Formats: sequence, C-alpha cells, structure tokens
Amino acid sequence: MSTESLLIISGVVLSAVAILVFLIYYLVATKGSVVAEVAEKSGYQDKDVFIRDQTWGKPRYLSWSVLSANDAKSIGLRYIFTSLLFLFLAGAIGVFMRISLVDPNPTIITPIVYNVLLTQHAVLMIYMFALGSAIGLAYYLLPTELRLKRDDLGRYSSFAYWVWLLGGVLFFISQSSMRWYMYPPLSLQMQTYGAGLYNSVGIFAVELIFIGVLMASIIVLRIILIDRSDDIPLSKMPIFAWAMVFTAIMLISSALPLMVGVAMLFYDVFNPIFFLKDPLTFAVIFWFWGHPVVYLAVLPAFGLMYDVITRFTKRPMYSYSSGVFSLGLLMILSELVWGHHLLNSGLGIDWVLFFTTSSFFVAIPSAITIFNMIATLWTAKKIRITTPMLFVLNAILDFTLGGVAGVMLANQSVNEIAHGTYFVTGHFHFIFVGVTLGVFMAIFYLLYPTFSHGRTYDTRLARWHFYFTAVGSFLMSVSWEVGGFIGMPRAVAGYFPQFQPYQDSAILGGVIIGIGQLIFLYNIAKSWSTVPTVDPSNILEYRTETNDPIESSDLGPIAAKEEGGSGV
Amino acid sequence: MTFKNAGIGFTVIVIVVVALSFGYIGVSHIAASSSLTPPPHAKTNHTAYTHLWADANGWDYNHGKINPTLYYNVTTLVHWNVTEEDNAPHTLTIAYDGAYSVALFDKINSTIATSPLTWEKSPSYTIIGTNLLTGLNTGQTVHATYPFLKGGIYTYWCTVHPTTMFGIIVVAG
Repeated sequence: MSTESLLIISGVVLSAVAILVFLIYYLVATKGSVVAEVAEKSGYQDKDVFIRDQTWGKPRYLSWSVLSANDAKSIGLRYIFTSLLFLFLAGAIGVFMRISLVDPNPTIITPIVYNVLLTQHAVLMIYMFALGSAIGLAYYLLPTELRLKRDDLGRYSSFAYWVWLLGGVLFFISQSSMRWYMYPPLSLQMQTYGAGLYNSVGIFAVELIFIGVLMASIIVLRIILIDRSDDIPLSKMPIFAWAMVFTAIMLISSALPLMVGVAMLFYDVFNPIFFLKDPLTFAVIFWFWGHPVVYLAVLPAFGLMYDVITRFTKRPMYSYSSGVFSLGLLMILSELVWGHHLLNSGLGIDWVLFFTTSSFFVAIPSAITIFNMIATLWTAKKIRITTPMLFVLNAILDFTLGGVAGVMLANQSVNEIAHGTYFVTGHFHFIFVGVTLGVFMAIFYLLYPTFSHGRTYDTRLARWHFYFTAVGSFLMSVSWEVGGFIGMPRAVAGYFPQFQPYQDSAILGGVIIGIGQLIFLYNIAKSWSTVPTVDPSNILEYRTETNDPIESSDLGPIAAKEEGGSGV
Repeated sequence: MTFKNAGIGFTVIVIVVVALSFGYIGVSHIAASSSLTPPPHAKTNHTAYTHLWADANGWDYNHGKINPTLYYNVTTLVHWNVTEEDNAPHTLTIAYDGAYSVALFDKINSTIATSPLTWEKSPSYTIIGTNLLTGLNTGQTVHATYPFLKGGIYTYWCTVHPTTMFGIIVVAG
C-alpha cells in the first residue's frame, strides 16, 4: 500500500471513529443533563448522589445506564461484563493456539503470530478476566452484603474502570509478544521477531492496567474496612469480604514495586540504562508482583466458594475463624515465595532453600481451606447439587490437583527438570480454569436472575456448560502435566513429534472447553429472551452473618427452581 | 433506557469484538510480514553480494541499467550493499509474488513499468529502512543481509519512491 492511500484510509477511519465517539459522548451527556434536571427537581445538587439513592438497596440489573451511573453496583456490572467479554476474546485466542498445534509443525498460524497470541492470552486472562471479575464481584456483592453507610467514591471507581479498560484494549492493539512477564532484553526488542514492533505501547498499557487495578483495590479496601455498616463487626463479615481484604492488601503491597519497574522498563525503551545489563533485577521485581497476582485469582474464588457451599448445604462454615486465618496466611505466604519462579536463575543456594521451604508452607493454608470446605460438606444433612454447586465441587478437585503439582514444582530438584515445560502450564491451568473460571461461572449463574431482572437460565444448558468445562479442563491440564513431565517445552509454536499424543489430547480438551463456553453464551442470549418470572433478588447479596444457619427462604429463585433436582 | 434484551446484546458484542480482534491480528503486519521475515540463524547454502545505488530516479541510476532484474539460487544469503545517492530517504523492500513460471515473469516484466503499485501490494518485508538510508549519510553504503529461503519471483522497491524505484528478483530452485 502506498503512503498516500494509507494516509487517506487512516484519515477516513480516524474521522469515522471521532464522529462515533462524539455521538456516544453527545448521547451520554444529553442523558446526563436530563437526569441532572430530574435530580435538581428532587432537591439534589449532584446527580450521582441522586442515582445512588434511587438505586440503593434494589437489585441492579444490566442496562446501558451502568456505563454512565457511578454507583458501586453499576461499576461492578461494568467490571463483570467487561471481564466476561475479555474471557471470550482471550479464550478464543487460547483455542486458536491449541488448534494450530494439531501437527508438530505450525499449521494455521506462524510462530510470530503464535507468540503474539500467547502473550495476549496470558495478559488478557490474568489482568482483564481474573482481576477484573474479582474486582467486579467485590463492587457488586459487597455494598449489599455489608450494607454500606456511604458510596461516595464512584467517580474514582469509574476512572479506575476506564483506565483499566483502556490499558487492556491498548495492550491488545500493541500486538505485543513479550510474554506476560515482560523480561528484558526481549521486551526492549521492537522487532517482529522480538517483542513486536509496537511493544512500547504494550509496556505503557500494562502500566495503565496497574493504575486502574490499584485504584480499584484501594477503594474496595475502603468499602470493606471503613464504609461497612456499624452493626457488622469484622468477625461477622461474609468470608468473601475477608477474601477481598486480603486480596486488596496483597495487591497494593506488591503492585507498587513493579509499577516503578515497568516505568523504568518504559524508559529503557528509549534510553536503556536500567535493565539491559542486569535483566535478573527486573525478573525479581516482576515476580515480587507475579506470584501474588496468581493468588489474587484464587483468594476471591475461595471466599465465593465458601459462600456457595454454605448456601447449598444450609450449614454454616465448619470453622469460620480458621477459614479467615488460612486466607490471611495465604496472603502473607504469597509475598514470600516469589523466588520459586526463579529457582534456576542463579539466585544462590541460600535463597533457593528459603523459597523452596516457604513454598512448601503454602500447602498448610491451602489444606486448611480445602479441609474446611470438605468438612462443611461432610457435616451437611443434605447437599443440593445445583449447577453453581457443581462448579464449586469441581473447583475443589481441580485446586487440589493443580496445587499438588504446584508444590512439586516448588521443589528445586523437580523444578530443574520440569521448569519451562507444559507441566507448569498444566499446573496453573488446573487452577485458572477449575477455580477462577469455574467459580466465576458459579457466581454468574447465581446472580443471573438479578443481572437479567428476573429471568432464569436454562438449567439443562447450564449443566452441559459445566460438563464440557470440567471434562475439557481436566483432559487438557492432565495431558499437559503428563507430557510436560517427560519434557514437552511450553510456549512454543511447534513441538517434537514424540509429544503429539499429549498435544492432541490437550487440543481435544481445549476445544471441549471452547464448546462449553459457546453453550454458556447461547444460554445467556436464549434465557434473556424469556419473560421475567422470578424475584430478581439473589442469595448471595442479602446475608451477612456467616456463622448463623441459613433459612431456606434465603435461597433465592434458582435454588427454588432446582429444588426438585438431584439432592445428595 | 433499559436494555430490552441485554443477553442478546451482550452476545452480539462478544461475537463482534472477537471477530474484529481476530481480523485485526489477521490483517496486521505480523501476519503479513511473518511469511517474509527471515528466522534468526536461517540456514543458507550460497552467498551472494549485490550492490545497489539508491536514487529517487530509479535503482542504479547513473550506474548502468536502471532497476536491474536480480537472479539468485534458493537458500542464498544475499549481502546487500546499498549506497545512498541523493538526499532523499529510501527503503529496500521486497514482496513475494508467486512460484516461478515464465508466464508470471512475463506478466510482471511487462506491467511493472506501467503500473508498479500492482506488484507492491502483496505482503512485504523491509530489509533496509529509512532510518539507515537518509539524506544525512549521502554517499555512504549501508550493509544488510537477507536469506532467500523460498524459490519464486519477488519484487523489490523503495516505499518512498514506489513508482520509480522498482525491480524484479528471480530466485531459482
């Protein structure tokens, strides 16, 4: 394409985008002024306060207005549905990469595109889906669970959301292939075979994501610790609130060093004075954040798993205090084990021993958590096996399998042979697909009547969604763990022919997961078309005293609908 | 304004965003150029040295035949020496036009002079960019290598002067 035609086309496209953006701004501003007028007539000076008071305590369902209203629940809905959108994008990328590996030589996509897709899959899944959905659920569930006294940080939350979204979109546009851990010197090589031509944009986008996530987690921390109702003491908070407290503290304390590091890396793009001669320093700074961030994806999920289990067994948690204690211990330990990602990088034997030992200690709070969940199930008279419950039970299984693999990897002698293989990929996909994705889906189904203003999802399709996700994830991760343990290298566009059985069964698993998510998408669209039939309130939002037995009337519409279902 | 059917709306948004994103990756430079981008440490069996003079009036202007046709064997590592002749910026960019056949060569050879842009639309790769060939170093020679790993007919040109600086490369084998 010649320069002139490129200029003409880009000029036309940019003008069209500008007109569209202005149109959206015009519509939002017009609507805002109408709302402001109504608010003024009702005696409000600030329209945001007016909207908050109008929607306060009512079930909040999805509509366009969540994009302009700044109350906590609207922010929550924005985060939840945006992260769901990114889940589908990053998931489609993942399935695409899988299919390309059907043959030892790259098939559909070239190695360069594979590297780009690999980076995008990782970054979008972790920062946009896992973190976004955790923050979104906190914004959505906590205001009613904790009966907030005030909700006055809406504009900051909104800013955090837009910055986070801008970061995610920019990162995708940058077509970065620097891997999610951004190691220099690769991340400083602006070439197609390096980190991508526009990787400086990618580094900048990561910084934007950090700013958004950091702001949001500070606000979540304030919601829980300062703004909650006076009659809910810390000892009576829902366990999800505790999980979010630990998540937010962990995030705030570990993100800041890497934010400085990423800023230095961005400077290095133009004037390499920091990391080019000393790349290990960046690796250390990165994993100081990188290990906590993978716990950020499971800690909120643990809190939600407890909530789902207590509701479908009608039992209080087996031990509330040990549950909170183990989540807190997980937070502390997560900050002490990051070196196990660098066991083979020459940290020295003293540090390796320290990190190996501390990583083994992680097994203790994890085991307490799993024991607590199983004990709650064990003491229940009756367990209602609904779709959310199935996802949570599967999460317990997958966390155990993935966690054991993680403890194995933390052993230096195993790590020496298993690092950089698909064993690692299998380990964390067990946890990410089984726990992070599974629990998000469980909660999404529980909240579906609220989101959709009183509609119920198709339980048969939801079951199929669960079976496809659980079976596919198990098949994929197990194939990777077995293949990885005999030396199948990860993160490459091709492989040696002897690994084909493991790759092909993982592809089958990946495709099955993909089909399951398509069923889920179809279920959303189909069920939303039905006439609203049920009370849009849900069982997650309106209960605070975690230690008290639950009345059956608390179990919302879905539980009632599935009442006739299979009970154990 | 309430969403009458937010579920279908969301589903449509998901499908559109995923399709656009894949389209974006698909048509972007990484997909296009990756077929011509040489892998690091590519294995080659022959070596050739080619000297070109970059002038806005045509390659090798004032140095024999203008816009010469270049011939190599497949798996040749070509050492390009490009001399900046005028004060204008230049690039050395190539594109693959297809497997060798007399018909294709005749077609390109007969039309490239009248409509060179036709043959400069296929996925391209820039061997030497304007950062090296600028008016600042007029008279100097820039060196770069490119391995031809696939036989066929290529075109080469300067993206700044695509209508005057263009030529054909034939890679036999």
